[in-house]
Amino acid sequence: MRNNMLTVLGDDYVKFARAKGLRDRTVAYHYAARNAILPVFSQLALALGFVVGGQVFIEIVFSYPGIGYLLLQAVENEDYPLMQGIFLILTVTLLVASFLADVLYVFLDPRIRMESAK
Amino acid sequence: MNWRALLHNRRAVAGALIFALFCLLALLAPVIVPYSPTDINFTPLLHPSARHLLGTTVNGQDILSQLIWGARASLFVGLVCGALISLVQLIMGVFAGYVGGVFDTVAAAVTNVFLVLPSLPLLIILAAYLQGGGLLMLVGVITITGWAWGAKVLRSQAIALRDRPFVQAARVTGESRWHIVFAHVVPNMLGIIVSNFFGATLFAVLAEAGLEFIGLGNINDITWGTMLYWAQEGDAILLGAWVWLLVPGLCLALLGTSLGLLNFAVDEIANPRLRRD
Repeated sequence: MRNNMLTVLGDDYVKFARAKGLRDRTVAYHYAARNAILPVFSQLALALGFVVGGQVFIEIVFSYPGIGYLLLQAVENEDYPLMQGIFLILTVTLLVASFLADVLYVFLDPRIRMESAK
Repeated sequence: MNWRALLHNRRAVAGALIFALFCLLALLAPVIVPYSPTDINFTPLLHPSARHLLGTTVNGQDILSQLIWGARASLFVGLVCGALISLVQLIMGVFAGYVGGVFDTVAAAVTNVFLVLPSLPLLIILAAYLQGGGLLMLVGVITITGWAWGAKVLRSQAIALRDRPFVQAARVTGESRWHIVFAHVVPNMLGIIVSNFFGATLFAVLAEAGLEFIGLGNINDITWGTMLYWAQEGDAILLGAWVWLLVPGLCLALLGTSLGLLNFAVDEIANPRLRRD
């Protein structure tokens, strides 16, 4: 987000907004942040995969009965079909999540909307 | 990329110092360990004292010796995986992006598939299938699961560089593809490649410790991950042996911090927009 924000802040339309005499807050939130958040949003879906991974370890440490703990039990009992099943569910969930993120992206970014309308 | 700038970057210097310290610890491990890390003849559960600076484990092993020895495994797995992952990224990202065509289509598809797969669960499952393989097995598994994100980043960079005039000039003079990729494309994205290398190393160190902690990999190896595993198994917290649990975790965090600092610093130098001061 910081990287994107710095990139966007250097753009001409931000300079123009500032030249119009808008307040810093208005420029930051209404002009720059709206554009800087787009790449972050597309990374969010992929970050979900990492979250699921981290959650596996947290469930194991705290013995919280979730899918991660189930995965550990499957590993300990060498229950391969269960492992495959868990992995399948996790993967499908992530696929759906990233698909939803892509769909939402169209609402957030007018440029993509215009492209598909052509 | 400007290597001199690294010396003037506080993050880079701090990261490099901590990293160098751990490297020194790992290299000199056989010389500086006070006792053999596998020796189980000490009184169990001693608190830190002059004879055992960090105390002993429930099995009567010296914690400091284990800690020093454990640095070797973490750094070995981290650096080997970092190098292997970078190599895969170079081929699947940079080379494919530059060459284009069928190879690129296939490479991009494979990259996208690996990108969507949740890497840590896949790591656990792969390690479970290849049980008890020790460090080399972990290196393989971590490399397979950790390369996709960087490859995608590098690929888009390579595509952006492909049509720049100096690359086209190199192509017109009839140089081979590999030569163009390594002599003209790679040097121009070295910053991203290096920061990706540190990122991959960090991922590998944490993934190795995580897998060892849940008991995958060889539990008789001496690494920070297995120290945590045995501390958990040996009820370190219940027995009040907090040093046993805390110290390997702290070392992992420090090593992770140093790699993260190096990653950010190189990123900052390669991308002038991120520089603030």
